Amino acid sequence: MVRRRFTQFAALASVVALAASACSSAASTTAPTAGATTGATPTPMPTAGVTPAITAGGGHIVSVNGKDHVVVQWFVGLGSGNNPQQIAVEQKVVSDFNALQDKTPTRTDGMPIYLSLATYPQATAFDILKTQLAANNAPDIVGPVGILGRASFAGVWADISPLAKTAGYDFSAYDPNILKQLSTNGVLDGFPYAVYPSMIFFNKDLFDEAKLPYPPQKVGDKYTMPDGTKVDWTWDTVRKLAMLLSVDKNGKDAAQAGFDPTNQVQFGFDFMWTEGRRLASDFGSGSFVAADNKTAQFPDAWKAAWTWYYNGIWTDHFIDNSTEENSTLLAAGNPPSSGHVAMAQMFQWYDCCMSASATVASTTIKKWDVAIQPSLNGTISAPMDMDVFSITKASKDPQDAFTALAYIAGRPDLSAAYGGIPLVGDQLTYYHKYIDAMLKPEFPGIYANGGLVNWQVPIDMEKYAPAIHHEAAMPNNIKSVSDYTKIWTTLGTTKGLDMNSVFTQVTTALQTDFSAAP
Amino acid sequence: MTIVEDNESVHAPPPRRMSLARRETLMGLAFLSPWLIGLVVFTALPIIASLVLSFTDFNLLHPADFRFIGLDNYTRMWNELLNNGAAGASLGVTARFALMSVPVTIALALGLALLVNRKLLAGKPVFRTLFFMPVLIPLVASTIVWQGFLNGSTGWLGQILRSFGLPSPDWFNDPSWALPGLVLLGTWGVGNMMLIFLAGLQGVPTELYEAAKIDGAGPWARFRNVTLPMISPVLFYNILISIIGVSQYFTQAYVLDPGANGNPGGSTLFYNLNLYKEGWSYNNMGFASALAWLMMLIVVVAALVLFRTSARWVFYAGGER
Repeated sequence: MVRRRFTQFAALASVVALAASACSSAASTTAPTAGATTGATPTPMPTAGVTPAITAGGGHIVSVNGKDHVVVQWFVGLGSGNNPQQIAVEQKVVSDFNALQDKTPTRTDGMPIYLSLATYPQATAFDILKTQLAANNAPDIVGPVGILGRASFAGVWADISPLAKTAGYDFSAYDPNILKQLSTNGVLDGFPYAVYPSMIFFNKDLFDEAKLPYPPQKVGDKYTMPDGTKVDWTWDTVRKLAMLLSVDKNGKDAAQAGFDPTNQVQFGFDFMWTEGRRLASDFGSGSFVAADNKTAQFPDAWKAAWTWYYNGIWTDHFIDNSTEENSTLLAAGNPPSSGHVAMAQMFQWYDCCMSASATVASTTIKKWDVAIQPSLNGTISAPMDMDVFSITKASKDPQDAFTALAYIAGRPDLSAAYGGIPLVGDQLTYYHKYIDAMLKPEFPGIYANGGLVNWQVPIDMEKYAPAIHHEAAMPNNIKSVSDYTKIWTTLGTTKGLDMNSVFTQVTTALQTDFSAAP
Repeated sequence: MTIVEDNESVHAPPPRRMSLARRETLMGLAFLSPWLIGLVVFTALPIIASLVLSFTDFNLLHPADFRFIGLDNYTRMWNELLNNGAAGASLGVTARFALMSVPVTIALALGLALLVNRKLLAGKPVFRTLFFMPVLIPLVASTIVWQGFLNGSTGWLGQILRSFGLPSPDWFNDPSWALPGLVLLGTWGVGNMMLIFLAGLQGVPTELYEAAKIDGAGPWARFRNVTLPMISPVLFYNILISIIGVSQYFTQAYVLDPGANGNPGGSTLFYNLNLYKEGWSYNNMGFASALAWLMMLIVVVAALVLFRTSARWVFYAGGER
């Protein structure tokens, strides 16, 4: 009898324990789940070398080493910032900030801020943040995030101007044009952080092999064609040059008779990880939406860009199509790194991804440098990626979040790790040294005999950013982007398209979306 | 008064003891409770929540602003179905895929099960293991591998076909070949179904085959008149599971096109991909919930039809259904 009762008790206890463990989360043992700044019960935090992340929401109070701290949550993943090297720098920044706060608290009540970092892979970060917002568990700081990523969360971001004013932070050092591009409907809803100008990355070995001069690195410099003529560095020059650098398995280039595009082993040009508006902006500033913010349009320069790209793939065979881009020859989607692409148009942050560790190709690029963007009708247009840090409207402690954000934005090692040009000049020297130190072990060929990547090129290109950002919000933005992208994608997959019909399809689809905008 | 109370206590019946059956029921429920709690919290409540949400304009980014909008989501869905909007197109893609995928995977799994069930086959355990092994590989990894395998330029399959002078489709970049490519990818994971068929085949009494042989039945007649009827419950089960599986098809299509546009040319815009896009890209969780309920309704109807027709073709040895 006793044994049976004991068995029953043990079984019931097991069930209760199982149910309890199933219904609780590991985090609940280390952090509170409720309570705001005032009157919340502090929860002991572990002490460790790396500042531990906590699940308590922003504005909550936690106890660290027996001392109360107010939590600011920092969410990373919508843009750059989640590769191991970057996470290491982010953790250092967080630890330094928290140590500084412990030493010299900035809050008037003397309570230090506890910055907690959460990084997520980009593939899932968007869904995770949306879930957190829907669950009223939004982080305080989100970033770095690009213009498009931020536009995916329209209406979620706080205006940081009043926060900056309260904190005495001065934005006058920033370029007003950049601030304008970073604003949404006139509201500065992101802390201006870094820019990533676009340019041409080129494979020096492939140019050397073809005995062709390198592309120009200064605005205004001419390019010397094989026949000795000096020509302007235009998109048409790039087309001719890229055809010479596109080679089939028989060694013929794309400008020669008998070239076999079905057995191509080298490509002259690649628009790296591009999309419709970005590529179009390479040919000139523009927008799919007219100035009235209602009418769909397809600017002439953008038509020229799409046509140039399409012909480059299917007629002139110097650009890889979608199948070729994802082939093992071209590193399964990372063509320039494979060493089989002579030139690639891309943002500065791509220096992260040329390394052997980032590619699946059997051969990898060895020596590369950067050149200026080509011009169209005498005008250079260099689309620019931009990163901001934003504070959510749902933040329970936006002012402390701003304090932490101002610190994050002031760390040169962090902006260097992200690979962007800092928007405040005093970080630039540090940035270049950092990037070179990062690239040197991977690309000894570049740095042999005192060689360097010409980082003046992206700095020069910054001045040629289109007036309208290529990711600027359109009416019904998410749907509009999705709809033109569906049509854009067919350019890389489908031969024999009528481009005029493509332009009509785009404007028709977008007009429907614009008209349906709330 | 106190005397009365004493009397009552004296004459009160002894404490009631629970019957053994009742105690066993309670114990059983107690043991089941973790699962029951999980079912209620993680399955039943979300299902009910999604039904409620389907009548709202719930937006993920602005959860506080949601309001009830009656049947608006269902009206929109109906219009999209009638006018070949995203819901209609994605339902069409899923239906086409089901028509291709279900017969192919069932036939292949049954064929493999028959193969590894043959007495004459040497090394049966090795083959069974080999055919089952792909099931253990995560879907995302296998999809990425198949993307490379079927790449129109450097993929192995294309190279093999070309070495025989045959044309090679550009599977995942050609709208007309993308679905067959996914069907092909799906055949890699038939090992589970093969095992279920194998269990069914091994349950067929050998004396039935011997009797059929004595009656002069050839291999095809034995398969048609003995094997198929005897494994028809297993076949029924596998068809049902396949249909449910197709209705949940998502991962492979999403890995192929993380933008969830169903590229190339919308040819892989599966119903669930469109549902995901509505819910997570456009943040229209209310409309996405309505889409989810339509799919559930379709699966329920398909299952009912299967069950109704099963009386004509599913044979239960014990006569039970």
